[in-house]
Amino acid sequence: MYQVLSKVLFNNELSPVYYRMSLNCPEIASEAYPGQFLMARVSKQLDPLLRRPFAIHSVKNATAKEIKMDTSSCVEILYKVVGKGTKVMSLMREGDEMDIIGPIGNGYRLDRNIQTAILIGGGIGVASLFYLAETIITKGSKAKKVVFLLGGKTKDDILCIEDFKRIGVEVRVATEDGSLGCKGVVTDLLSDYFGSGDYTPGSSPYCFACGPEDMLKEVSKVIVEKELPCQISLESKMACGVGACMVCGVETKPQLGDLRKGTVLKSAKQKDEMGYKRVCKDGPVFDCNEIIWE
Amino acid sequence: MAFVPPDLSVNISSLTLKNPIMTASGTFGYGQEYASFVDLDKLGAIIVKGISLEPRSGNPYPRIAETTGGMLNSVGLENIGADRFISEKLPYLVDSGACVIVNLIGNTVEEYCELAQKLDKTSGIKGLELNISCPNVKEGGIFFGIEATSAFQVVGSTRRSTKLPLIVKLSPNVTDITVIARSVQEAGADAISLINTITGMAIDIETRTPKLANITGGLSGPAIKPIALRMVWEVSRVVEIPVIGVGGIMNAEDALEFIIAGASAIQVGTANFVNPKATIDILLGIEKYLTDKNINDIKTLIGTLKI
Repeated sequence: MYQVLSKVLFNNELSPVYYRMSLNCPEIASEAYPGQFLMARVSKQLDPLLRRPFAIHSVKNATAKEIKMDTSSCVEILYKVVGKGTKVMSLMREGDEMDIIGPIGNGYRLDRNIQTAILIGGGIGVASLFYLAETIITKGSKAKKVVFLLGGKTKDDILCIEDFKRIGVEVRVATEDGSLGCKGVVTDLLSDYFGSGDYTPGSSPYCFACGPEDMLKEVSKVIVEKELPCQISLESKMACGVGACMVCGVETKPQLGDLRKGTVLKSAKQKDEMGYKRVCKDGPVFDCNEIIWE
Repeated sequence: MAFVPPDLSVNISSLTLKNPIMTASGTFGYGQEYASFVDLDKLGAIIVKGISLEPRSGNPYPRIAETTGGMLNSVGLENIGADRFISEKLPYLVDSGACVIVNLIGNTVEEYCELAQKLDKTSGIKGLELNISCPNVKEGGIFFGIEATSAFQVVGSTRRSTKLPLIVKLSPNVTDITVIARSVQEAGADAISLINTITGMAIDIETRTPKLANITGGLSGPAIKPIALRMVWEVSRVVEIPVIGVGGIMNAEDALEFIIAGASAIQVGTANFVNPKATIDILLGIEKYLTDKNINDIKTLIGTLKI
C-alpha cells in the first residue's frame, strides 16, 4: 500500500454528475487488481476532513513496467458528485495534485478457467466492473463470454457502455424510467437472462455484482436460488481505509476459517459476534453467501 | 560546533518515551495496520485499540458521520478481546520495537482489575491506559469517568492490580474536569490523558433520522482542539502527575500548543485517518521547531505558557 501525491492527468465530465479522473501513480498502477480501491484526500485543507474511497475503474501501465516513473502509468476512477468532497474533485484540472492511498482491499478473486462471466452493475457500481471485465477478457487463454447487465434510474445514470462494448462485452441495460434499454431494474435483466436461451442450467457462469446495497441484496437472492458463485463489492462510509477505525463493518455469517487457533468461543452469541468484517480490509469484495442482509 | 539534535525524550511517571508522540487509542488499530506508512519504533508509544476481557461486537452501523472539521463515531469499543490481542496482535508490535501501551475497557470494576492483572503478567506491555471515558457505551466506559467517586474507585482498584504505569483517559463530557482529574490522581494514577471525544450528533434532513445508528457519537478532529487545549491547561495546573494532550492534533503546531499548555506528551488520533504519516510528520515538525528556537530539551518547553 502506498501514499502517493499523484498528478491529475484528466478529469472529464461523462454526464451531468459523473466524472472520470485519471491519476498518475505508477506504484499503485503496477500492483492494483480489480475490485481494489483508493482513498483520496480531496483537499489539502481540513475541510472536507476525511479521505473518500473510490473503486479503481481502470489501470494503464507503462509498456515497460520497470519504468516506474513513466507518466503513462495511471489509475482511473469514476465518481458521482454527491457531496462536498466529490464537488471539490469535480473542479480539479489536469496537473492538479491529489494525495491518494492504494491499492486497498481484497478485490475480485478470478479463476483463470472462467468461461462465462455475468457482471451486474447499478449506477456508479460500473466503476469496479470495467476493470474486472478488462482483466477477465485479457487474462487467461480460453475463449470467454462476458455479459454486463447494468441498471440505473435514468439514461444519465448509465455510464461507459461503449467502453464495455469496445472490449467485446455484451451489454444489456435497464432504466427505471425506461429512458434507455428496458424499463425496469437490473434484477429484471438478470431474471430474463436466466430465463433465456443464453443460459444453460449447469453451465456455471461466474457472477460479479457492484452497486447500491438494496440492489446487491436482490441480486444475491436471485443468484443464491440458482446456486451460482457470486462475488459482490460493497460500498461503505469509511474513515481510515486500512482496517483500523472499525466504522465500515458488515455483518457476515461466521466462516470456519475465521475461527483462529486458540480462540475459545464461550457462547453461541459470542460466535455470532465473530461475524463482523471490515469492508475496507476484509472486503470490499465478499462472497454473496457470506453477507447477512437484515 | 557539531549539530546536536534536541533531546525529545519525555517522562510519563517511570516510563521514559523517546519522544512525546503517541497514537490515540482507536485510531491506529493494533499498529500493524499503519506499518506500511510509519516505522512503529520511531514513535514515543503506540496506544492500541481499547481491549476488553471478552470480545465485543460494538454498535450498529452506520457508525460514522463527517462534520465540519471533524468526525462523529459510534463504534462502541468493538475489539477482539484480551486473549486474541495477546496471542495475535501483541507479538507483531513487540517485534517492531514499539513501546506498547494498552487501552483498557471494562463493564465493572472487577473486569478492569482482572484485565489489568492479566496484562501485568504479559511481557512486552509498557503501560496501561484506563478508558473511563468512551461516550458510546452505557456500561463501563464513560459511566466511571463522569463522577469523581466512581472514577476514584475504578482507578484505585486497578492501581492495586498492576505495577505497570497507569494512565487514565478522561472524558470532556463533565462539568468540571479538574475535579475528576484530582480524584484519579489521588486514586494513584501515574498520568492523565485528555480528552476523549465530545458527545455530539448529526441529522439527515431528508429522512429526519440521525446519521449514526447509535443516535449520538463522539466528536473528534480539529473541531475539538480548542476545547481539548483548554482542558489540558486547566488540568495541568491542578495535578502533579504528567498530562497527555489529545484532541484534534493535526500537525506539529497543534502538538506544540498542547506541550506549551502543560502536556508532557501528546496523542495523535483522527489525523491518522487523514494522513497515515501524521505522527511522523508531527515528530519532524517538533524537532525542527526546537532546533530553530535553540531549545535543546523538549522537557524545558512543557507548561511554559506565558500569561
